[in-house]
Amino acid sequence: MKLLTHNMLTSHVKGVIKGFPLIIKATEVKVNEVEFNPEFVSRMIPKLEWNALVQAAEELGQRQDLPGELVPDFEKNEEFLKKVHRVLLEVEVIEGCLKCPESGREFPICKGIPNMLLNEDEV
Amino acid sequence: MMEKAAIQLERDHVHSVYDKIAPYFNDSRYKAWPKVRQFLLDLQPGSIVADIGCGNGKYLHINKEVFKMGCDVCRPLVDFAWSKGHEVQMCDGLHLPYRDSCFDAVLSIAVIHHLSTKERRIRAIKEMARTLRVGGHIMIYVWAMEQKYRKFEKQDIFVPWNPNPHVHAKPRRRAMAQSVSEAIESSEKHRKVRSTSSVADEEDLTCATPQQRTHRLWFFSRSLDSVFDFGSLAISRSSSRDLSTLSSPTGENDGSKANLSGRGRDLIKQVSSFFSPPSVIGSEEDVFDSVTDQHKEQNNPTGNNGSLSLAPECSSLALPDLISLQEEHQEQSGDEREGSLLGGELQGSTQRSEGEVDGSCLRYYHVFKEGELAELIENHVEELHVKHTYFDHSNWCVVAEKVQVWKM
Repeated sequence: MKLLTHNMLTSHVKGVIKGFPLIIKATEVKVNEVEFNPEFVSRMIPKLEWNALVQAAEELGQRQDLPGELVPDFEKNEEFLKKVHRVLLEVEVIEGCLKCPESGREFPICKGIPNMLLNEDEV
Repeated sequence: MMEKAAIQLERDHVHSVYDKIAPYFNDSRYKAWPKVRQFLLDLQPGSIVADIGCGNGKYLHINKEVFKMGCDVCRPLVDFAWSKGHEVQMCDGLHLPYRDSCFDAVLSIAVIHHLSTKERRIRAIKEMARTLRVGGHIMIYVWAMEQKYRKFEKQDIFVPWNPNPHVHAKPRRRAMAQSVSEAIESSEKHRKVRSTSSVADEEDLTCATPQQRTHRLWFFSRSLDSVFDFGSLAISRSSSRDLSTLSSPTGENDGSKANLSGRGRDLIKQVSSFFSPPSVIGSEEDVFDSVTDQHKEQNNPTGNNGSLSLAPECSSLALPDLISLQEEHQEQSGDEREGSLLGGELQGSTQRSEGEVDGSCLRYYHVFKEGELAELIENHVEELHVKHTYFDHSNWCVVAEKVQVWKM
């Protein structure tokens, strides 16, 4: 699971109002090399919940010097875009779980795949 | 309660079947539909797209300029998609784990026809619409009732899985006929639960040649939507017989909710028995109306719309699964051996030669009539506005745009 994906995921347990962002508890993390496409990253940024991305990177110990706030004119700031590219697309959670911030329910991540299936009593 | 029956039906005849047949889906015959490919290629760079019910992820590699993720309930298929380097999750289409309005585009390709009630199909579309941003587009493909040369006679059907859709080898057909006749013998006791609009003719079945038998056998039941909807059910003579069978445990024909809830478990069992093939035997009519016979359906006032039936062996018809039967046919002669190898590899309880009807490998489909999908969206999903509808390779297709809905 990449952090770009994580940024879209939310807990959908019945009754939960604020299931986003999911807290990451990782036991295995990988960092891959992914081709850098500055325009791609630049277009992604407005779609992100920025704080959730920073928090997630922090939880994985991969934040490095990613700023807590978006820098102005980030479209042209290649250095900044490279940092974002790294946390969004290169950092991957292979094993661990995603914890609902409200209910505490844990969704397992196995072999990089989050299992978001709910039990009968959770729907 | 209908929900429980729906979930059970989908578990038995969608999820568990896909779990078993997942290895076959990576066959090159199951290609990406070109118009879906084009939809993805036309997206603005930097878009985020979700393929809901992505299967083995065959659409997830298209267009490197957009970020794609897929999800499915079938673990083996999701695992395969992951092995190809895609971002995938396990989840259920009725409860999507994505925040509101986060996607620029959503795909639902050959998925919602596996949902067994209209209400569930609407819910699935609404869930996908929820995750779509305003201005974003969703593309939905579902199997059409109206096929190129024929038409499914019923809308709610079971379709047997055939790992070799193009092979017409005789020995295989005979094997299938035999297993089906065995199945009939073992289901004698279920015969009274027949809920048909035509009556089975057993004599005809027993003296038919094996080949004829395979084309004649089909299994009826009622669509889940009509079982519980006593009020609006088009009552035909045979269906009123069904209703009395349904409510017979207490000897009452009163379909009031109080009675139903009291006998909930029995009712679910009875309803599920409608859907456990081969519990019912059908008539000698072919499941498909040929084009010239379509008027026959219009003249039948008792309405076949509520019934479930089994389509005859897949090798004899062009199923919407396969992109182009004509083109592929020339290439298939060499695949026969490959097919038997695949059959041998398939693990688990369905250790049979391919081509046999295995009751556990029947997939449930609700095939859509022309206009049905668009109508479903127009009448029940106000946040989506239908932009295009078309017919593509045996599928009805809709592209719709998410719109802002203002509520007072």
